Formats: sequence, structure tokens, C-alpha cells
Amino acid sequence: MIRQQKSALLNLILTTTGFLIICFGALGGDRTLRIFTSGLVLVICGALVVSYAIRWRIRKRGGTHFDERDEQIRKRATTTGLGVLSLVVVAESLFIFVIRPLGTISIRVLLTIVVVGGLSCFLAESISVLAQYGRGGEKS
Amino acid sequence: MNRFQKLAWFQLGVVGIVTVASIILMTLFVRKYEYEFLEAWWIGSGYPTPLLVLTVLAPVFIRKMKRQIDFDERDLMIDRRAMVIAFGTTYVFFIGVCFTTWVAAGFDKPIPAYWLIRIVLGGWVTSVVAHALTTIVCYGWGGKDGKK
Repeated sequence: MIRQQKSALLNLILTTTGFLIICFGALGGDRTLRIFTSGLVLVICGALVVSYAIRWRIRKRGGTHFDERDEQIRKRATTTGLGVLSLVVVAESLFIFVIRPLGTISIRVLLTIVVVGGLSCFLAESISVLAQYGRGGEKS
Repeated sequence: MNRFQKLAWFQLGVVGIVTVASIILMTLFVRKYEYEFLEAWWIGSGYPTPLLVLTVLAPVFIRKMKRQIDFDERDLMIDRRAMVIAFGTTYVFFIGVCFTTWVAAGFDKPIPAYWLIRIVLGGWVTSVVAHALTTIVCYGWGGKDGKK
């Protein structure tokens, strides 16, 4: 398993944990629990950003660490991730509007939409990278 | 100028016309009918919005010439780059809107659910503009660069 795959696997674990924490926080109505889960999700988002920065550094270094094939895989994964992000954000917004067209929503919901969109982006990107490298088999 | 550039300029033109029309209507509603700013903004931007459908219908108006190659590898690369930038800009737009609303209204304040549709519409317009601008910039502002 090469570095890109390890990084994608780590991102996959982090995003899945993030989703589970968001679901847990949404189910529990307690304010303290919500603040705690929001903090945890923020830490996960920070870890994802750091992971992205490390990958960016590896890509810039190039050479044997990052060849043309890796670059092609990265480009396709990025497009997939960003496409999924847009779809998720639009789907969430439409879903909320359809449920309560004349009602009101808290601004917290807006922030949750943004966070869930970001996590979906990383999740789709990681899955795309892992799928393209052949799930850690002999191809890579 | 190739077909992609013409499409991009057309989309930018439509968005520009809609923006100018919205500003004129908004000013009219505030000055003449003494609406509040937010109301005037909703109504003023609401009337010309259906015109934005033209950005989707652009390929119908700007058709491919007979025997013309639709796109080559370079066009595909530019289109992919424009797409990535458009998606990225849309997400930045969403983050900006959410945090502006948060700062302006307060964390636990409720907002009408239909605002979400407006935000999605704004995001879509942002992505159209970002895509068109990136296409134009990558082809070199409509010079001979994109000619086949």
C-alpha cells in the first residue's frame, strides 16, 4: 500500500467517524452533547485539512513519490469529490425545504449542511482514490 | 473563438443582464415604492431570475457546426479545470453565506426555510460564472487561441 492509499484510508476512517458523530449529536437533544460533538467534528475537519496539506506537499515534491498516474488519479478523485459535495449540499437544502417549505430553520442547520458537504467531499475522494488504485492490491 | 468560448461569453452575458436588471428593479422598488431593502432585494432579484434558464439552454442557441470537431484533449482539460474551479467556488460561496448569516443574525436564530432555495440558486449562479470565467481565461480571453 503506497502513501496515497494510506492517506485515503485515513481520510475514509476520519470522515466515517465524523458522520457517526454528527448522527449521534443530531439524535441527542442535549445542548452540552451538541457542543461536545460539534467540537469533535471540528477536530476531525482540522485533521482532514492537515492530511490534505501533507498530500499537497507530496504532490509538489513530485519525483518518485508522485508520478503521472498518481496525478491522473488525484485529478479524477478531486472532480468526483467536488461533484459529490455539490450534489449533497443541493440535496440537503432541497430535502429540508420540501419537509417544511413555510417553516423556519436554525442557522446551526446551515452550518451542518456545509460540514456534511465537506465530509462527503473527502469521503467520495477517498473512495475514488482507493477504487482507482485497486483497493491496495498488486496494482499499486 | 471556438464553441466553448462562445458558450462561456453567452452565459456571462445572461448573468450580467440579470444582475443589472435586478439592481435596476431593486432601486425602483426602494425609490419609487418605498420598500425596505431586503424586500426590494427579494422582489427585484426574483423577477429576472427565470432568465437564468438561458444559461442552461445555451448549447441549443450555439450549435456545433457541421463537420466541426466538438472537442479535443485540450478542450476537455480546460473543461475539467473549469468544472473543479466552479465546484470549489460554489462551496466557498456556501461557506461565506452561512458564516455571514451566522454573524449577522446570531447562532440560534431561525431563518425561513425558503432561504435555502435562494442560497442554492446563488450557488448555481456562482458556479456558472466561475465555469465561464475559467473557460475564457484558459482560452486567453477570446483571442485566436481557441480557434480550430
